[in-house]
Formats: sequence, C-alpha cells, structure tokens
Amino acid sequence: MGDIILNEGFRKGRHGIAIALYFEVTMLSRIHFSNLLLLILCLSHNASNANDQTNIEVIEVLSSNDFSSANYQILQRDDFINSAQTLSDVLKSINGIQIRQISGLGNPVSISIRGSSSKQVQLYIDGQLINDSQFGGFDLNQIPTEQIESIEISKNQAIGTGATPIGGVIRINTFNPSEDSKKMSLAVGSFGFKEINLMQNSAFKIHSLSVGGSLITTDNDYSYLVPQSFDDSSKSVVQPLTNNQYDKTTLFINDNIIIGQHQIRLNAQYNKQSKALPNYQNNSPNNSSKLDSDSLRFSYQHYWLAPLPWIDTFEFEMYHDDKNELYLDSPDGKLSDTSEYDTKKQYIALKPHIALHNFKLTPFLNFSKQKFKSLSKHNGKPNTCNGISGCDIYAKQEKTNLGARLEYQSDKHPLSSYALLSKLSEKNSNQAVNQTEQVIFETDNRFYTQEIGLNYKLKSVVTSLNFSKGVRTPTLFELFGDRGSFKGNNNLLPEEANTLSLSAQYQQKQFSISSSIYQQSLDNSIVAIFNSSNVGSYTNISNADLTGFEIQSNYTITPALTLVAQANLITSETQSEYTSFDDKKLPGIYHQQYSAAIKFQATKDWRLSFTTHLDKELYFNRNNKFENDNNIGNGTPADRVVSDFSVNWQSNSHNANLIFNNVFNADYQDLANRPAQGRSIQLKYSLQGI
Amino acid sequence: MLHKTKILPLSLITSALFIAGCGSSDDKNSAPTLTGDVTPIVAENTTLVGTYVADDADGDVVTLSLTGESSALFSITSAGELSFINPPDFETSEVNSYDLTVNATDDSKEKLSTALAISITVGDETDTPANAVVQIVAPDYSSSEVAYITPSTQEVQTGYYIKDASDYTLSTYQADVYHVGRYGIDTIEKYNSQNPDIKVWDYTTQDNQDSLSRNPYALISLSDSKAYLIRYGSPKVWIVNPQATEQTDFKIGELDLSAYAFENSAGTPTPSAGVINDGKLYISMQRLSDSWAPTTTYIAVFDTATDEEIETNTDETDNLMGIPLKGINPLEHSVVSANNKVYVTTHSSYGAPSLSLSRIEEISPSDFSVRQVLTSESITDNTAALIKSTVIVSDEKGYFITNETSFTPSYSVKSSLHQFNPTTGEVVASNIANTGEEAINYLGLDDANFLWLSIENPSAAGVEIINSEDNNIVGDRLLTELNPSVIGFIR
Repeated sequence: MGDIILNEGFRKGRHGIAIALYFEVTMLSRIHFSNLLLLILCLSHNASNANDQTNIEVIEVLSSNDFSSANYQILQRDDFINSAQTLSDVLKSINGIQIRQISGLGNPVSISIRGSSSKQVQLYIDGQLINDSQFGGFDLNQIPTEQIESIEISKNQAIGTGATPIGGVIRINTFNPSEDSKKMSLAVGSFGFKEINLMQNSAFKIHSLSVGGSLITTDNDYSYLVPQSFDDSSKSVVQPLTNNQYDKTTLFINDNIIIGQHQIRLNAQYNKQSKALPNYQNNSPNNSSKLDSDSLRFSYQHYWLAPLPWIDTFEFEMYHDDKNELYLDSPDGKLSDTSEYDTKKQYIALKPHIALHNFKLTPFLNFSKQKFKSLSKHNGKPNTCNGISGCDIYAKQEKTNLGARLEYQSDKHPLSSYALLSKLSEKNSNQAVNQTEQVIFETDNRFYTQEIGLNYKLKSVVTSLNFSKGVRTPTLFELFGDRGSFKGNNNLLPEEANTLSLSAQYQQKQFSISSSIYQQSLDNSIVAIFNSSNVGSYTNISNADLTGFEIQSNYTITPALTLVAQANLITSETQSEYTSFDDKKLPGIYHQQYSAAIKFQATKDWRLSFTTHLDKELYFNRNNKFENDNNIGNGTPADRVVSDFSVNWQSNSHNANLIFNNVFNADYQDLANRPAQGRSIQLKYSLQGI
Repeated sequence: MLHKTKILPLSLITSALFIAGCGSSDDKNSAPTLTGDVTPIVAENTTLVGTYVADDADGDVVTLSLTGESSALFSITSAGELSFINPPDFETSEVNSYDLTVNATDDSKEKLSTALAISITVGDETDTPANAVVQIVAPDYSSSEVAYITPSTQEVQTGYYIKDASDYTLSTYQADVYHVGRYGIDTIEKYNSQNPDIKVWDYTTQDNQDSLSRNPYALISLSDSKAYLIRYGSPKVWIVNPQATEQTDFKIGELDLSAYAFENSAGTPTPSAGVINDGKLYISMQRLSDSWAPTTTYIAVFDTATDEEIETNTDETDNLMGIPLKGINPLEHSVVSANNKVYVTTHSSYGAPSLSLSRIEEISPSDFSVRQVLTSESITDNTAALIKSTVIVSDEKGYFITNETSFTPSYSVKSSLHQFNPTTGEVVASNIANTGEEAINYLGLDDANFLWLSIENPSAAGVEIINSEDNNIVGDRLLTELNPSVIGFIR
C-alpha cells in the first residue's frame, strides 16, 4: 500500500554505470536510499561519442498520494509544489501532525507529532540533523518548497538510522533534478505577500547542475485587535499590524556528479532573512525591533556502490552550517538592545549498507560539533555580566552517535521486521565571555535508544507493530542558562518516552484506510520554572501518559472526485509533584482533530479542493487555566474550525493555483495565544521549461 | 329634710386608718429603685458588663439577683457589678446578645422588688486574622489568578480573575481590591470584596503614545478617592481617583521622580514601593542602571495635601530632595509605616551582593533623620542570606524574611523568618515557625498583628498564618495550588 515501485534499468558496462534493481519501498526500508536511486543517472560514457544524449530512465510513481504506512509517510514534490506556501502548509494536512504558528509568515512555527512538543521532533535536511543544540529549535520553513524533492515523515521513530526521537522525524530531501529545465514561479497574496522563484537545471555528461533562488517579501499587516492602541491607550482598536514585515532571500546550487561507482552530491545554500517584530500590546509605530539572520550551508554526500562482498553501498556525508542572528529590541526606536548569536555546526557521517540473504545491516557512525557564541549590547555598549543580566557565553557541544539498524525481509511470508539501536554521547561546555571569573561548566552524558518493528501483510491489509524508546536531550540553554536571571541546571535528566503503536492499512483501487493506535509514557518533561524574584531555571517537573488514535480514509467516488477524511484523538494525563501540574492535560496540542476534504478534477486542466478542519480541546498552559470574560471560574479549552479552498489550473508547462486560507475568516488563537490572522488569499503561477 | 349618716363599722374604720397609715410617710413601705444601662455593649474577651445601683427609700437592705434565660452566664456583686462568669468570644460564641433581668428586693416583710430588663451585646475586637486576598502564580509563569481566604473557616476560594499572564499584583484599601497588571500588561482593575466577581472598573496605566511598558507596581491609597500608582518603568507616579467612573477621570495628576534616574535609558529611577505616614508619601527607588546595577537608594517624600516633593535636607551636599540610605536596592514591599516611623528594607545588589548593604533603616518623619536598625550581618552565623522585607508589630517587636540562594543540587532559594527588636536592632529569633527550608514570597502583617507568609513550594504551595504573640502557626497551611505571592487584607 502506498508503495513506490521503482523500475529502473541500468546496464553494467565498462564505461558506464548500471545497476539493475527492483525493490519495494515500505516503511521499514531506507527511503532516502530509494530516493538516491531515483536520482542516480544512468549515463553512458562512450569515449567515442562525447555528445551522446544522457540516458535517464523514467521513474514510474504509482501512487504518490497514498501513505506508505501509518508511522511513515512520504510526500513527493508534485504533491505540494504548486499549492503550498511553506513547509508548514504541506505538513498541516498530515494526520497526527499539528502545526501551530505565531501568526504571520516568518514567525516561529511549532510542530507536534502525536502530542509531542516541538523540541521532541527532529528535523533533517538530507542527512543533517538541523535541531539547534543551544535552544533546541529549528526553522521549519528554512527551505523554500521549490527546493524540496520530497518530504519524509515518521512518527515516534527514526527515519533509517540515528537516535530515536520522542515525537518523530521530518526529513527534507533537497531537489535534485535529472533533466534540463528552467522553472519560474511567481506568487502574490494577502498582506503584501510576493514571491519569486527561479531555477535552472542543466544535465551534463557526468553531472547535473541546479542553480536557483527565491525572494519572498510580505508586510504581514493583517488586522488585529490591539489591546491598548498607541494613540489612545484606553481603547482596544482593530488596526493593521505595524512592524511585522518579513523578507527572505535564498540562493542555492546543487551539483550531482556520477563518476564510475560513485555518486557525489554537492549542495550550497545561502539564506538571508529579516523579520520585524511587532508590539502586539500597543502596535507602536515607533517600534523597530527585528530579528535578522543569514546562514550558509554546505553539504557533501558521497554514495559508493561498493564492489565488495555483502556491502551494497557506502554512504559518507559532511555538512557545514554557519548561521548568524542579530536580534534588535527597540520598542520606541530610541532604546537599542542587541543580541548577536553565532552558530557553527559541522557534521560527518559514515554508513555502510550490508546485505546478507534476507538481512540488511546498516551500522552507522556520525559525529557533530556545534559552537555557539553570543554578544549582547545595550545602546552600543557590551552588557555587564552581573548575575541578573544575562551573560555573553561561548558554548560547545560534541555529539557522537553510534548504532546499527538491522532489517529482515522474509521471502516465504509477507513479513518484515527491523531493529534499531543507538548510543548517543554528548559532551557539553559553557563559559561566560564577559565575566571576571570565567567558570567553565561541562557535562558528559550518554543516552541509549531502541526501536523494533514488525510488518505483516495479509492480502490487502498491512499490519504494523512498533515499539520505540526515544529521547530528547536537554539543550545547552536548559543545562547552563544565561548565567543571569536564568540559571542552569546541569542535573537535568533527558526527556524519555516509550511508545507502542499498532497500525493497519487497507488499500483497494478506489478506497484506502489507515488507522493507528498508540500509547506513550513520557518521563522527565523539562519546563522552565520561576520564583518570585523572576529568576528561572529548567527543571524535570512531570511525567505524562498519552493514548492516541488516528484514522484516515481516501475514497475515490469517481475518477474525478475524491473524498478524504481523517481523525486524530489524543488523551493525555500528567503526573507531577507540582500540584498545579498534576493530573492535567498536555498543553499546546489539540486533543481532537477532524478534517474532511473534497478534491474534484473538474476538467483535464482544472482541479478544485475544499478542506475543513475541526480542532478541539487545546490547553494553552500546563495548569489548564483559561482567561475568560467572567471574573470567576475557569474558561474552556480552545476550539477552531478552519476551512481552505483552492483552485488549480494546469496546462502543459503552465500552472496556476489560487488558494483561500481560512475562507470563512474564523477566529482562533495562534501559538502565542493571540488572535490568528484571518482569511488570506494567494495566487501562484509557475512556468516550467522556459 | 333629714340626712342620714352612716356610721362605718369599726373594722372598716380600723382598716381605713391602717391603710391610711401605710400610705403616709410615716407608715408605708416602698419598693427599691434600680438604675443602670439597659443595653450595654461589652467587648469580647472581657467580663465586666456594668454597675447597677439599687436604692431603697425605706432604708431596707436590698438584695440583687438575676433572672432570665441567660442569667446563668452572669454574676452580680452586692455592689451591683454585673459580669460574665467567662469572657465571651465573639467569633466562637453561638450568640452575641444576651437578655436577663436584674432584680432588687428589699428585706421588708413584703419583700418588695423592682426588676430591670437588660439586653447585653458582645462587640467584636480585632483579635483574629483578617480576611485576605492573595495573588497566586503558576510556577512556569504561564498563568495566574486570585484567591480569597477566610481564616475563620480555613476556606480558600481560588479561580478569581484568571489571566493568561503571570505578572500581576494586588493592592487593597478597606474592602476594595485592585488587581494590577504589570510589565507588558499595564492595566488596573477594581473589585469589591463584598462582591468579588463583579468588576467595578478597569483602566489602562499607560499614557497615550507611550511605546514602552511602564509596569505599574503598586497602588498606595490615601483615601477612597485619592491614591498613588507607582510605575516601575517610569519616573512619573500617577495620582489617581479610584472613584472615577471614566478613564478620563482616573488620572488626576503626576509626581515626578526623574531627578533620581541613574544611567537608565528609559529615564526611570525604578521606584519599587511606597507608604503613607502622617499625610506624607514615602517612595523607595532602586535606581537601577541599564545593566541592572543599583546605586545609592533614595526615598522621595511628597506632601499628599499639595503633591509637592518635600526637601528633606537629609544630605545637604546632594542635589536631590529625598533621603539617601546606606542600604542598596529596596525591592517591592520594602517600605512600611509603624510606631510613627517609616522603615525601609534593602536587599543589596543582585550581582556580588554584600551583607552589610542589606539593611533595615528607620526614618523619623519629624526631621527625616535615618537610624540604622540592623544589617543582615546581625543574623547569627549568617554568610549569604539577604533581607527581603520587614513588618513592624511594635517598638519592641518586628519580623523580617531573608532569602538565601543555593545551586546544590540545582538552583533554589530558601527563606527564613526572623524576629527582631526595632529599637535595639537585636535579632531575637530565627527560622521562626519552621521556616528555613522553603521559599517565602511575601511577608504580611494584618491589623490583628497576625503574620502571613506566602510559601512558594510547588508541591504544597500555600499561605501560613502566625500568631505574633507566641510565633506559632495558626491552623493548617492554607493551600492555594499555585504559588502565592502578594497578600492584601480586607476588613
């Protein structure tokens, strides 16, 4: 079900590369490896004819819209390239994933997989773990959708190798075209949104080169009820938000080189963005606060089809990521507090793939290093590190991840299984740079994670049983604080979870259904706790039990009309010595989600889509209290009903997509518990093969 | 015409003569007279009701006695002093009014008697803890609410004024409760404790076209129609009218503290607390620089009749009118008035604190002179605890709390309650009422001289009430679920 059958033919010859391969991709296989094979070019190095046309097999994708398994899913480029504004837009339709955002493009996005927190989700770009060691977060939308080949999602499990997460993994595979083409896309939308994407792909003898860039700009000036308007602080007035602009420039270059048995992917990406930060309390026009960042990322991926006994391939990857952020706090345009954060990451990984009869073994070793440095100033002068104002720090983390994945595929029974073991070692250090006595704090920890899974296929039903023991290690900020009013706690235990899930999938021509039930025990939730002097530190404060149920069905009524319905139900209960956090529901997630979508292919060129989401029972905080208009008594959990409508036109190389988000302009609270922006419209036009 | 004269029988004549003899001053017996207060009010915990004077015109000996349903609870002396046998307790008695009759009987053969009906009322004295309102805050600062506490029934009613933010505080004046939203909130709401779920009004505490949050810290009430709103992030203190029915009538003036700002880009001297004593408003200022370092503490003094600052001439060499102190960094709730003095508590600086700069100092309102009461070095064996706030019961008795920071096994704060003598500065006792192992957010003193402690223990957060007469905890800890902070008292 949902399998992607690859039908590639390679000829093994003296001057060329050829691999003959058939395999069926399931949840248990290494999808990224299959993507690699999708992208391997079959080139013929015929010395006598340097101008021979490159010989590229067509990949036949049978059912890209269907889910591969309940715990694992892959979205191909065509699923989202013409419709989605950001990766968040793509992921919000996946059952079991919740996306919550501070309203306005460019603002932080929180992702939850099966009730997890955002820090419990791992984001990979190709093979590199993006999660920041200092603060634990990641920018989900850092890669424009134009640069994405596919998106892999796994719930409660790793994708392939690596330490098992608690929530799951989002893996972005960057675009790697296989043919000459040029593409341009333009988009305009509400609140001053404009976007332009350009891409040129060129296929040469031994390599294919892709160069491109994108520009995004938006004012984000949606109407907002300002609690104390600037001109009359006694009045709450609806006004367009000021100082909320977002600009982003991305440039990238990819090169995919095939030399003999070797495939080498080189990628360089440069991002520069600026997000203005509004004052939501009074919408002051004098406010000039903003966050600027620029980052440069290089990656080197090497795949070697090793002519060795039992060893299929060697994978070797290296990444270097350099990010600079400048935060300016200037609420009145005169005061100026700046914080500069400089983060450098390096990553190196080695992974041989060993095949032995029905077994595949993939031992892995990766090593990463991150250095973080901060510099803060007030009105141009460096901050004093005095125990209440935060210190400038230099922090370092070295991580080593060693483990192995073993897969078994029975050739007598429709049965497959896998096991993944991982040992993660972290060495952390932190020192203040502007303190007279520079004390260095260090920690050295080991974390062990495990996963096992079993797949069984009976006729049209695939059943899966999975157990995972995942971990979320404390971030450097949680361990060491800022040495000011936020103290460190180097006795912090990692968050750990045991998750058991059972899923079943059934697919026929016109109808498919997938369902999962899972149970998770989460220990040692890390939360910031404050005392009456406003001094805080992170503490392990509670455990939680979650039980969830997901179901999704697709029904093709006619070839032109498809219905999709899904439901996601979670029950949660916390246990804590802290009275206010005991016997509560987990915050930050909707405990009930229902959605229904109708997709109608009106004509060959025109497609319509209408989706409604009903999300219920969101608790904003750990003690489940809600501000309300009554002066006594608790409010009720938050609900929302949001509907989206889109129209798509496709004709040869032209594509136009018109999207109405939040068609009925529903009111609901965003990630920061403020009114979300209302209805927005976007028109995107793409031209492929200029 | 002839007149018949009847001759009365002798018995009748004799009787008439006898009766006539009784009514005459020479021959009649009169009942005693009895005077006294017929509706006395008696303070609880006392016994004397009043004196009832009996008199007999015949000179007979008069005996006083009590009758009536409540008479068994009373006694009366021969001199007429009526008393409770046991002193009544207003709070615990089932009834607080009693009816009885005082009888005065002479010793004549006729035993003539006069009765006086009395209705006695027992009056309440402030000898029990006040009712209170307390701000409670989630440990992760994600929400807050207010709880009303009734000590007599040990009742804690939470769930009032639930907010999605935590930076709120309370001020009270008589039965009025003010809920103040501080940094980034900048609002004030008024409630009455008689109807706590009805908001009287809510107003902003920001001036128009002000981009910065001015962070209102406390409302200091002079009367029900005039109060002072101290704003931590501003050099301007608002003068407000709590009776205003419109926002435009709320702010009625300003006090200017900008002369006290020190290396602070926002221009604020970070005023943190205030108190009114004998018609003068005393405001303490931390005077924090941009890097959160405090400089010399000053107390500005304003005449509440004219709202003009008073030149205290405490330091003739400075160019400021206020009173400089030796201690550094007075936190919120750092100024109290008692014994006709003003007491200021200083914490010392946040980074690299010094025990000698954490002090209690006494200001004499007559000449604004400053006397050093004690420093945190006065505490026996103290090496790191700093004084946070103080309350004064009498000339000889006061209490303060100290905070001590620990980083083992992880960051934590422990607080202790100490008793001291405000006159001599001697620290009399420490770790009172089992304090010393938990953090105390707030120390309060109600009008019956009970101490109130807000205990910050996320596993058992609550308020403890201590009798200052014997330093014992009254009742059980009143659990609040969320961490309690400031407490306001309601009478």
